[in-house]
Amino acid sequence: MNRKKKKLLLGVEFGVFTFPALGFVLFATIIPFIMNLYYSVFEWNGISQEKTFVGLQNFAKIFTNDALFLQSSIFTLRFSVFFVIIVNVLAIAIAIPLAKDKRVTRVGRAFYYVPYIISLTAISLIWKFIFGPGFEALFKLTDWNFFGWSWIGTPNLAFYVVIIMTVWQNVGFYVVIYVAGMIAVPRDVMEASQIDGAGKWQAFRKITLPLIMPSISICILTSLTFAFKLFDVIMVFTKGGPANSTVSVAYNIYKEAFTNSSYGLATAKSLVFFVVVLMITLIQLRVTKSKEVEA
Amino acid sequence: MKRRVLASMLSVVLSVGLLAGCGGDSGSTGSDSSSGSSDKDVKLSVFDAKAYGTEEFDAILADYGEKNGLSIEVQHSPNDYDALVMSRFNSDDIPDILALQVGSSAQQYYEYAYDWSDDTEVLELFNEDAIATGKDADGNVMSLPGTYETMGLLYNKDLFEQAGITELPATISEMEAVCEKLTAAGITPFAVAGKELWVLHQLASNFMMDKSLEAQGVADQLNSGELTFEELPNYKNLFPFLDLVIKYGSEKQLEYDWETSENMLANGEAAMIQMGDWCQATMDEFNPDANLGFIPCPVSENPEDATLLSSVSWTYIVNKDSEHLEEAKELLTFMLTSDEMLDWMCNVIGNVPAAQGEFEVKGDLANEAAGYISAGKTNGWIHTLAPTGFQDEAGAAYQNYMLGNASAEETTKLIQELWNE
Repeated sequence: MNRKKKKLLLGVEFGVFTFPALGFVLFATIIPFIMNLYYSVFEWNGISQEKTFVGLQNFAKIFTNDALFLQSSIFTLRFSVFFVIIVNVLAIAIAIPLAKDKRVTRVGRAFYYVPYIISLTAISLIWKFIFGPGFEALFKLTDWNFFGWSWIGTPNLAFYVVIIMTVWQNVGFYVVIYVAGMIAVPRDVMEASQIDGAGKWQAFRKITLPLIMPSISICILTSLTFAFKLFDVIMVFTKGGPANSTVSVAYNIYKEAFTNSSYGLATAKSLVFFVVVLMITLIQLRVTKSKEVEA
Repeated sequence: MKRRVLASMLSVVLSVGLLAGCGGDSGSTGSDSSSGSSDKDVKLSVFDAKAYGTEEFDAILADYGEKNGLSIEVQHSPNDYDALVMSRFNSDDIPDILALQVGSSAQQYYEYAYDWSDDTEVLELFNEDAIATGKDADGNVMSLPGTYETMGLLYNKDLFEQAGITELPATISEMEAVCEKLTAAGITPFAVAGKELWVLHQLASNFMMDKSLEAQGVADQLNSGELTFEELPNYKNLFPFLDLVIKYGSEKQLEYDWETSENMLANGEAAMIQMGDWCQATMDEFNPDANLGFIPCPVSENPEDATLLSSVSWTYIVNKDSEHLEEAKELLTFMLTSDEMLDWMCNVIGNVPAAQGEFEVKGDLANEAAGYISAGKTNGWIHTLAPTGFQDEAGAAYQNYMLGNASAEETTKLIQELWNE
């Protein structure tokens, strides 16, 4: 077989194998994205056959005359900061003991992973029970004000409810990634540090942490995008309430399109949102990548 | 080498198969669909939003299809209805018959709807006031009415008796006295579903009613700017009423969803909620022996003003571009006026039909409502005539007031802006 023919065959093979995947990506992501661009310059209720071309007015409205979008952006940012920090710190703390290879730790890993695979409807029912009848019973038992508060009915508390629920549900996923990262830390480096007299904390800070930087980088990226796209818990559990205090940007976009019937405005919002998320994640990746080292 | 070629070919075949699955007429994507025998020529699709009585409904339609040589496909979608309907329209999969929420929500779809104005023999089968709810701005009949629903304050008669209350409150000060009595008897007066934006919006719509203008008149004048919320005779009383709800109600009302609220009323944990007779089926599940009734909502110091709002709730359009328009029209007429379906409305879901006739309806709430309706003591719905999207934003504004974060003046001003938007 001559080389030219071989090259051609390889090319054909490459095409045959990538085409299906490419087709799906085109169909499910890229084409809708382009349609999104197109709709964002129209005033359209999502139903009618007639659309009115309004140019950039939708974008102008987002920045000048949309208090709820601003409020939801602030909520989403605040949520992201809390969620990313809490979930990553907690996951690392849990991963340290679980990284040791014992039978107990294997059970422990599964234990933390379970909430991640329970369906969201079941999770909302669980938490509805905890904050409802559960807290009521505890309040009667202990008489602590903490249990008597209306957790879901007070804006400030509802924010923490969302944090608690999402962290509880997702922490297992990050634990697994960190455990994998910590297992990969070479043992000889650790032993060398022990001989040199490094304490546990010192070893963790100076050896483990820099060496699991790739894990940290990927975990921050996924937790950040999860936090920005927060939708399902809001949709199922708080419905954005009370008094719009837990409306996330994604939920606001959904409502704009499907309850307010402003499809054009909603697509414009989603584009603005996309650009912001893209920029923030790019910066984040750059910062954390620069901190990665090799053993 | 052979194996690689084989693998490549397989991958192509598989992906072609997958893509073929994407295209084509995959009409039966419904969560719950039924059809007659499939090899018939005339296919009709029905998109419905009812949450209960669906099996009986499907059986009646399947039987009708069998007799008339139609294959009828029904999709029931009580959850996330707006988004689903919208996506079906955008994927050019427009149902032949579509159930819509009466008012501004239905009006968005009128450009696709068949105009019934000239079919007088069909229109004569319905009550005139019910037909009026399906008219567009020019007075053409674009949709046909299903059943009436009535909403207002629901109360637990047993608890009222227990507290020694013999007369229903008709003014706001009487309401306060009733709350005092209930509290004194150790009963929680209110458990309003304050988490549900639509419940608060519906509660507030009682206070928007001006009986001299009726619902449509109020909505029209608010739209044209002739009237503002400040000028509505009873709207300012909404805020003292909400204060009562907060003062005498359960402390956690803002986290109650409709289920919690209904459950508390049915099981005697609270005396009053805001809801409608559509909840009969769930109430029966929570407590079949609950003794419930309506209180016309007190909206001022004049007992004559107390409102009970009743209207056609779901209205049905026929797709004017349907391939089988005649069959679809006949099917819808059957769905809304035939004896089998009227029996279904009265005895399965327990709603008063909008078709003409005398009906015996299952369920205390609907029966009590029917009494108020025939006595001419009810008014139409304003909340469905509000602009699209108004409901949720207004509901959030009322929550903000109930939390004490906004004054009555600020809320009224915000509500006015939201309506004008």
